[in-house]
Parts: sequence; C-alpha cells; structure tokens
Amino acid sequence: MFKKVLIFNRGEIAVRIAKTVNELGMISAVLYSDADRSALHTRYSDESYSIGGYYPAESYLDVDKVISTAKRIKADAIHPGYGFLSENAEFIKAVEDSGIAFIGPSSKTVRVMGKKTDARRLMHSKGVPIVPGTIDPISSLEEAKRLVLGIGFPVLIKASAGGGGKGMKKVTKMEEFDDAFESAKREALKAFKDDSVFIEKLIEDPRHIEVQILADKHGNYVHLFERECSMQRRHQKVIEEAPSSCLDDATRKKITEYALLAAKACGYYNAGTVECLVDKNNNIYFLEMNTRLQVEHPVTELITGIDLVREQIFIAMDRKLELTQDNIKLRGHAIECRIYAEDPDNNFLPTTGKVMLHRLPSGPGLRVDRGIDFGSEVGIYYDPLLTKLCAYGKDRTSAIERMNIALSNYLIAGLYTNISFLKWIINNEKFKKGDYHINFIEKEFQSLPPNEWKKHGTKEAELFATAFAAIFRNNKRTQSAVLPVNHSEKNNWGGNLE
Amino acid sequence: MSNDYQIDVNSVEKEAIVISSDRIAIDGKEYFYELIENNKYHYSLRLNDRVYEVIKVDENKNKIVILLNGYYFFCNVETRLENKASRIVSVSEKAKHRSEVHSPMPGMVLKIKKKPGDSVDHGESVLILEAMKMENDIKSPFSGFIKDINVSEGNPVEKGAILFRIE
Repeated sequence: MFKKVLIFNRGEIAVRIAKTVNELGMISAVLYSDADRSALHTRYSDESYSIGGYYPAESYLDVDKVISTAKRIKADAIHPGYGFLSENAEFIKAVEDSGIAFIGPSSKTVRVMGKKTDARRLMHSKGVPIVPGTIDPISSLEEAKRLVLGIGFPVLIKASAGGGGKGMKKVTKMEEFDDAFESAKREALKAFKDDSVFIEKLIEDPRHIEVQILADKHGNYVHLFERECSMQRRHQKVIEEAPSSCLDDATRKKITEYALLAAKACGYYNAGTVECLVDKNNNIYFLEMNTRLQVEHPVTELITGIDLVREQIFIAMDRKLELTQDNIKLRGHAIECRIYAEDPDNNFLPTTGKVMLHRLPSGPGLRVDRGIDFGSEVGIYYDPLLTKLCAYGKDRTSAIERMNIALSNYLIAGLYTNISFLKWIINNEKFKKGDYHINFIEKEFQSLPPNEWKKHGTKEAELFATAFAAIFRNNKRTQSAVLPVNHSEKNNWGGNLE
Repeated sequence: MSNDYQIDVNSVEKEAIVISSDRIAIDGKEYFYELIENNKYHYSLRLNDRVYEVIKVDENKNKIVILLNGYYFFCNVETRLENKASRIVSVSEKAKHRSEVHSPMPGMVLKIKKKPGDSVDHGESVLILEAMKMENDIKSPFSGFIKDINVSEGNPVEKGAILFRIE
C-alpha cells in the first residue's frame, strides 16, 4: 500500500488525481511553481511543496527537482498526469532508478512507443494495420521525394519523435513538397531536438478513434471501449465522446482487438490509449499509443463506472486487475467539452486574465473537472485548458441536451473563453447527427465569414445582450452626469478588448 | 440627454431606446425591464416574463463584452451622435485597411517568400510566421501586387503589426 503519492502536475488533472488518492486513504502531495502559488491543485492536496520557477522548464519539467523532492518528502509513488514529463522515458527511468514507484508504464515501453517510426515498425510486424507510408526515418530530401512517389499524394510529413501537430505538414502536390519537408524538419528539430521525419499517406477525412486499455504487471489485459476524438483543431482535441457514434459492433470488436494486440506487443502495463484513424469504409489504421492517462479519460469513466486513476495506482502497487473483460459494461453515452482560455475569433490564441467570478453548472449527469477557481491567474506559462465539462445520459441525444444546458450555465468572468464556440459545435446539425470527422472544424467553422458563427440560434440571447448593453451604458451616462467619473476605476482588469 | 442607442452586437446592428427606469424599446418593440446588479460581474436581467443571468466579462468605454446563455456578445454601444461620427471615420479607415495584412499573433518572421512588386494570388503564401513553435503561412487575402513588406526575416513582430500591403 502506498502511504504517500506525489502528483507531479498542475491544473485540473492534478486536482482530479488528488481526489482519488485521498479517497484511497493515501496522502496526496503536489509540487507548485512560483506562478502557481495559489493554484487549485495546492488546495485540493494534503501537502504541497514549492519547486520555484515560472516557465515549465524551470518547474514542471525539472527531473532532478521532482526526484529529490519525492525522496525528501518520502513519497512512495509518483503520478505524472498527462503532458509535461509523463511520456518522457528518461524521466521514468530516473524514477525507476530512485526506487520510487512510477504510476504508469515502464520506461522501456514508453521509449519504444514514443518514437513514432519504432512504434510503426513494431505494430506492422505484429499485424496491427498502420497508415500506409514509410517505416524508417528519413532525413534527405532526395530520398523523401523518391519514396513519396510510391505512396502517392496527398501525404503527411510527420516528425519521428513527434506529437501535438509539431513537425507535421500536409502536402498535396510535388511542387509544395520541398518547402514542406524542410519546414517539418525545422519544426521537429526545434520541438524534439531530432529532425528525422516519416511520410504517411493522407487518409481523407478520417475519424480519430482511440481505445482505452488497462493492463497489470501479471499479463492481464482489458479494454474499456473506445472514445471518439474527431472534433479537433490543428490536432488538438476539443470535444470527445464515448462510445463513438459511427462504429458498428463488428468494427468496435476489431478496433478493441487491435488495441489489445498493440498493448501486448510492447509489453504494456498500467493505463494506456491506442489511437487509430478510421476511414469512411471502416478501415482501421494504428496511429500511435499514448502511454499515460488521457485528458479525455472521464468519458470512459462515465460509461463504464470505473475510476481509471484508482486502477492505475493499484497496478503500480503490483496488484492483479480485479476487472475482467466480461464484467466491463458499456452503459449510456458521455460527452466532454474542453473549456479553454482562448479566442476563437483570433486564431484560437490563448487569452489571459484573473478569474473574478466562477460558477459551475450542476444537475443530473454532469461532471466537472476543473483547475481554476476565484482568483486564479490564467497566464501565459501553461496550457490554456481551464475545465473539462462532461455530460452523461442514457443515450447520445440526452448527453448532448445536458451538455447544451450545462454550457449555458457555466459562468466565468475575468477572461475570455471558448464556451460559445463549444455551444456552436454542440448545436451544429452535423454534430448532432454524429456526422463529423477530423477536418470538421477546418471545413465547417473556419470557412465561415467573421462573426457569422455567432448568429446561430442566439436570437433571444441577442435581444437580452442588446438590452443589457443599452441599459448599462445608459445607467453609466446618467450617473456620470451627476457624479464625477472615477478614471482610475476604468478598465483596470480587462485587456481582451481591442 | 439622448437615450437613443445604436448597438453593434456581434456585427448585428440593433437599436434601443431606454424610455424610463423600467421600459425599453428594442428595434421598435417595447419591453418591461428590471436589471439587478448582484456584483460587479453578475447581473440578472428581466425582459417582461423572462430572466437571464448576464456576466459582464469586460468593459471599456462604450464597448462591453457579455457572456449570456453560453454565448459571448461583443457590444459596441453608441448614442445616435457618436454613431454618426464613427460612420464617417470608418469609411475612410476601411479604405486604408483593406490593403494591409496584419500579424494575427505575436511571433517571429521565419521566411519571406515575396518581394515588393511581385504578384500574388488570393490565398497564396507570402511569408512564414513562427509562433508557439509552429510555422504559420501568412496568405494574401486577395490577388494583386505586393506594395511593400514592413518586416524582415529573423525579426519578431507584435500582434496587429502591419506585415505587408497589397494593391
């Protein structure tokens, strides 16, 4: 039994992990940077320790600091959350060498699956279908041009060490290839210190479907069905749901079998996710394996009733899985919306501010995982994800209805968020029908003229907004005609207005 | 004092007349209203038999950003007189702005593919801006000739800075 678990992360995921750690009667400890002195994860954990710094490199990416702190505070285990060092094989190796348990897979597995080309080769050899393209990393343009002729346009150039869309370029014709190849290599070098790339055939308008798996250290493997993550913008997920609305039973059976095969191929243990592309003809292609807890894990928890963090901790304690495939049942439908501090009208660039008011929606079938509260400073240092809003219902329609109302009731002041963009998606007819793929936002949203998307289904709200704006300005003018204007009060906290 | 307002609500033109402390007319239709300030950011607004919670997200002079029922509304509230004045200004501003391409984000100019005098097609990439470790193509908004380029390779640019002009 672990007595103390160090959660090496911040924001909503650190808060969420602390809750399960506390529920298991263990002590939850977190680290916080100078920018996170009053952050929510310090309030939800039993103990919190300063690691200083503002930028991730000085804080949440510092391997030596976390291991020395873990030893000093006598932590039995480290949970890395997602992002930061969670998929860094060197970090995991350092934890393994320190004698502290790592709540996640082995460094060896992470190393293999982290290198995209190695993972592709391994999957190919075990009979898991991969996206057609090159297996070995390429660095010369001449070689790339020769190979691309065999694959056929359109293609994607991807970084071998890649992730998060960095070092990834879409090319539709040979004339664009030279520039894109050099650009992908430059991005890859900057982001991953490795400029090798590989080339994949571009699958037209695929779905991104991933399978959650759990495995213990005794060779037991189960899957917890799939998640549909096709609602993406520049390879960043925006809305996820489980189960997928487009999989028939035969395809579901096939994709979960491939996922288990993939996990077994790399000797996986702990919680992991096998990401696949599924084309219009239900062909499945392995994309990559995420060797950690996923951001969107709550939708799986909602449809299976299984606490994934709890399972992760037990697996790290060398326990055998109590779950068997037969007693994992899929029930109802769950949707997650990621509330980001970002501006849909300005290329989705991050917004900043101090949270001055925050009221979460509540009601039947709602779950909110949040990393902010009153007074939280949302700055430039970390990921702009504020809250994950999840709705559960007996079927997809009821989950969507609950989500629509929940988004309307999410109140936040002090900074601008993507809430209305999420409302636009949730109310889109194609989304409601489940008819979407990974290029949905680019094709349906980004092609709209500016402000057009804001006019959908908002007639009554628009009337109230008009009334509020007029009455508010009128009251101010009436007051300032009598009282002297206090200029120091003006615009002392805003900043998102042009 | 004039109580007659022209309001731009997410680019939709609306007209409102605040008739009294509990009557308002919007686009010619009259409503009973009640506005309660719960705190500096949170308001309850009644129009006839319907109440909405209104979040005042941001405010600056005659601009107000509102979060209402899950939608953000960017409102520009002008009195009739202010509206007349800004219309005159905006016509000449628009003519000037049409040809300018501004930086959508702070970043660094990685590569410039065109030089003054070159012709460009609508959607053709003119330069590459690197921001947040990603390379972004900055494309021409319409076909024409590059009039001038105001930035140089390897140098940082602020959000909103003029990158190049097209004629």
